[in-house]
Amino acid sequence: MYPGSTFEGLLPESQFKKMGSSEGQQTFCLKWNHHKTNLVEILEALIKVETYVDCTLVVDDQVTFKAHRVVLAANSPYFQSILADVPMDHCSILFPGVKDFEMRALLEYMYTGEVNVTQAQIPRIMKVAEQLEVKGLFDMTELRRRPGTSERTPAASPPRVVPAAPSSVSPPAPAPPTRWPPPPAAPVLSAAYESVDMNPLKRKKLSSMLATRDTPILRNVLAQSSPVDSSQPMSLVCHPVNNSAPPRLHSNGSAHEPERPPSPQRPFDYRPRRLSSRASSPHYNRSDRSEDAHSPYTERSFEEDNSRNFHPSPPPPNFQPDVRAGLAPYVPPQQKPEWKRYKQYTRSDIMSAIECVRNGMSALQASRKYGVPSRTLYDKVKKLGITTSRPMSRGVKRESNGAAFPYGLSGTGGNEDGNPSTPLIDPSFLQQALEGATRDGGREALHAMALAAAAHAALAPRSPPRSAPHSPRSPLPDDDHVEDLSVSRRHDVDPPSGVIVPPRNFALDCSSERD
Amino acid sequence: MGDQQFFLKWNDFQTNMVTSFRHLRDEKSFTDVTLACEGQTCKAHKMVLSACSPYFKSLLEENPSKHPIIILKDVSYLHLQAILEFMYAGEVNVSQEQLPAFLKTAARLKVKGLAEPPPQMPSIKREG
Repeated sequence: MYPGSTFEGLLPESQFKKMGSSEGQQTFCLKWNHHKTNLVEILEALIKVETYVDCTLVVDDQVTFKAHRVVLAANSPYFQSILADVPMDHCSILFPGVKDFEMRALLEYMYTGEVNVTQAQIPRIMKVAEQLEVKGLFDMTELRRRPGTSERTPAASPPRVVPAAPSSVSPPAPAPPTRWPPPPAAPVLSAAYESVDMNPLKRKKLSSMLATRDTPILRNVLAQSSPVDSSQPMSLVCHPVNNSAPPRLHSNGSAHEPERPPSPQRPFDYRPRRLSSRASSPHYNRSDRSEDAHSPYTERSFEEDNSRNFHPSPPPPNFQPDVRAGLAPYVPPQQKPEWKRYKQYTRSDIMSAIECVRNGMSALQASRKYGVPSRTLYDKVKKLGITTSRPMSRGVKRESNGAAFPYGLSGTGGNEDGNPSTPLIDPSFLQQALEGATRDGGREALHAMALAAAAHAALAPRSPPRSAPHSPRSPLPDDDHVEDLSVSRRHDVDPPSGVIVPPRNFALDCSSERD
Repeated sequence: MGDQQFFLKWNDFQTNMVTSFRHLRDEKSFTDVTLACEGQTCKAHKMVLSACSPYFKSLLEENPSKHPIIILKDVSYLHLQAILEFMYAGEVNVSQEQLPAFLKTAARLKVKGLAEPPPQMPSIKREG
């Protein structure tokens, strides 16, 4: 059984890992991959309905904003120090001299990581931001002059004021959006969170929250299409304001969100975004992929991630509409070439390559023949469960325990259309799902099972028997990164005595494969 | 005969009030407002602020809160401290080069005795 299925709501994006199994107790790492996403989204939703707010910000003209102290503190060392010693239940923070649009913009920035403002507003907003030390908007040097304020906070990694700082804002000519710095790791990071399918319960709750109210906060979404790349949390990307443009929430998003009711005055845009905050987590950095325990995503190839994130193909149908809207559209078209170069093969190339491997060609040869990145091909072939002529490494046996479950379930096994009816799924996955369903009867498990059944049916003619889930990987130098995901079963001599007892087929797998 | 009134006067009343308030501020006892500028904060009493500045008075009246935090824009922390000192003690030492800026800040915050032309101007003495 895939232990994550024990917890409804954790699948499929949850991970379940064994960590450093010593002789005695085995510890398990229960990891929900969308935890950060969820947290950010929930905060946005909460502020929208002003739930759990615990402070009131008062600016000029008695305009008040409600906010969460924890968010203020998280986004500003200044607030952090101010609020630290104010143990009041509900505190008021007065900002004489601050205009409401400034505070509104800053609040939206703090809650969502981005905000649309007009060029004229930028200098004032930046000034207030600097005074309040809003991370990402104020100059880092200011902080260094006061040692011990924010450099202790890990999140204070280089907050930056980009070229768009007041002095250097370009005139409203249509200039290409600036992104800074160019983030090589960004696609990997966002891909890790791409399958934003929350469990239905939560999804419903959130969407209902989103639908309920339109608070006065940030009502003036200053209509500017700014394809802000939110994967760099600490950088502000400003774009020249084209005042003649009709007010829109997000330029690119509009075409992708027909389902959303028109609400031109939404103060916050609550679509889950392409997820800014996570990029700051060093865990998802590509350079970390050798440390397997914490980076379940690293098995996916870079090429694949790019193709899935930045390919303009429709998102998987199991995506919620508003979730879907938040993903792709945020990539400015200008960036296309930069990402595109990672994927210069077509879908038919990869299919042909897979076919060749199935017919006995080595994956490496096939990858060369069709110009497909070999790692991508390995992944896909492996998920198909195809045996190659390559000698199999010992580590591969772990594949059968369903560690790749999350990917299989989300239907993101590398096929670009993300169609869940043809995920490249190891048949063992079906067993895992069944196992989970029978054990817990969880809704997620049932859902997973349905998906798995469809997938299995689609793949049935060519799926090898479960006993031979061989990986076609060749001993590449970076082989270890490919093994990251498969999660440390190699020490599992004993059935784990940890939190969750493994299912019987897992135990069987272990013993049979050890032989 | 029971109508006779007695006049009780504590001659040290004002001195005592001043020293007591000062003491309370030093101890941060009963402080009920936090002033913040330049990333630093100091605590004070609403009553004293209101008594010494119509600006703070209206600000605090408009925003009744148990413990408001007032984030002052464009005020130097040094000046804020000096102004508080002036409010609590009635006197403060300011260096000559700081004096114009200090008075400007005080005027913005409408500190009585520093901002508006008071009945009697505070005497600026040179020291040291």
